[in-house]
Amino acid sequence: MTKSVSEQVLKGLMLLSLDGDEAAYRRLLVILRDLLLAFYRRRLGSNADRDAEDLVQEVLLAVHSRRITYDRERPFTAWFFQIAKYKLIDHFRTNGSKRGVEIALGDEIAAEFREEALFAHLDIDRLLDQLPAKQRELVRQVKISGKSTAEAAIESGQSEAMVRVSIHRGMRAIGRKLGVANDEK
Amino acid sequence: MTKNDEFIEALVSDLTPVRRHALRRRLALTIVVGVIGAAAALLISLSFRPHLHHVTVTAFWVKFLYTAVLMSATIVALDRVARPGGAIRSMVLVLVVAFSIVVLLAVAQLTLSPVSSYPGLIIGYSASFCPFLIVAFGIPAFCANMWFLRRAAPTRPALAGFVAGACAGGVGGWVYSWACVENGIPFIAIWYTLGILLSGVVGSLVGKGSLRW
Repeated sequence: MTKSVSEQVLKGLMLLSLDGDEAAYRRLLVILRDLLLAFYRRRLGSNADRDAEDLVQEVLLAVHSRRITYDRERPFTAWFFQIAKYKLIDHFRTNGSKRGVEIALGDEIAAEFREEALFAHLDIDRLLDQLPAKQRELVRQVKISGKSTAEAAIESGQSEAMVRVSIHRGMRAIGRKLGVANDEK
Repeated sequence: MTKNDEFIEALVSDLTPVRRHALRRRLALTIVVGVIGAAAALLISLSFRPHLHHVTVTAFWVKFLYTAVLMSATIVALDRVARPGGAIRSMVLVLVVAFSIVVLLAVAQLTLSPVSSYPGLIIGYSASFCPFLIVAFGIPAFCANMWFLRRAAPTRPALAGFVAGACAGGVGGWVYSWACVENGIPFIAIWYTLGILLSGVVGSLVGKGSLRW
């Protein structure tokens, strides 16, 4: 669930960027930078901050110069993490770290879960924090933990319709923050 | 502003729109260039050799279709390996099926023919140079394919190089088939396939060194 929210948001930004939307592209690159920094710091250890930053720049540059290879019909995160992984393996290779290469190659198995975990702790948390407390709790329960609106309604003591409206507003607010919602009020 | 922000701003200011299917359009152009190059090679080679022998309709179409299928499957594979994490399992399956069908046809032709005709059907006039000519005809296509891949994002350089080479061999073989004088289906199954494989192996060696990014 978490992943699909991030996937939708990131893919939306990517599609806008491909059409030449500079604001969307800036947002996309900032989010990707944060994701990458966490992704690489975890894999390189804490005393390799400069390496991590160099890698981040390399990946962002690759995303930029090879964006033509993104297929609009397919998931964005998969495309993006393949590039991030490729650059990580390349980094280990040039540094002659065989163990690093093996670990990075083995990432494939757990990649899905890690992406999910990563997203859950990065942009989503930060975005949710900007919502009012009640709304935040509802969005978290339904959109992230996967509860039904009925369950959330019972727990919060509100009607189901109210819960729906609240979640809808919360999601719209998040969308606006990321510049992907249509403000057709 | 940190260094990172400046970097992002630089990328943003360099943003230009990308058309739908832009990569596939580029691939189509790449293939057209390769086919024209192979056709030019064919025209040149025709001036060096005696004029067309009689080729049976069956042999012509087996060659033409076999190479067309190999070429098409490797073009699709090229589109896949040009993208990060691209896998080509389904295309490998197509190639194996196409090869198996030609092998079956070859066996059928051999069983229906007298043993005395076997050398003609298997070795023919041109076995010693056919695979090499297919590779040679594919050279323009190979250059075009490498140009295409170097601007894309292949994450497995050796595999991508192999596909680029095999695809060039497919283009070369297809064009070569237009004027090939052989009538043996076993000939096609062996020497055409070898030519295309050889082209793929060369491509793999070249790709391994030159497709990093």
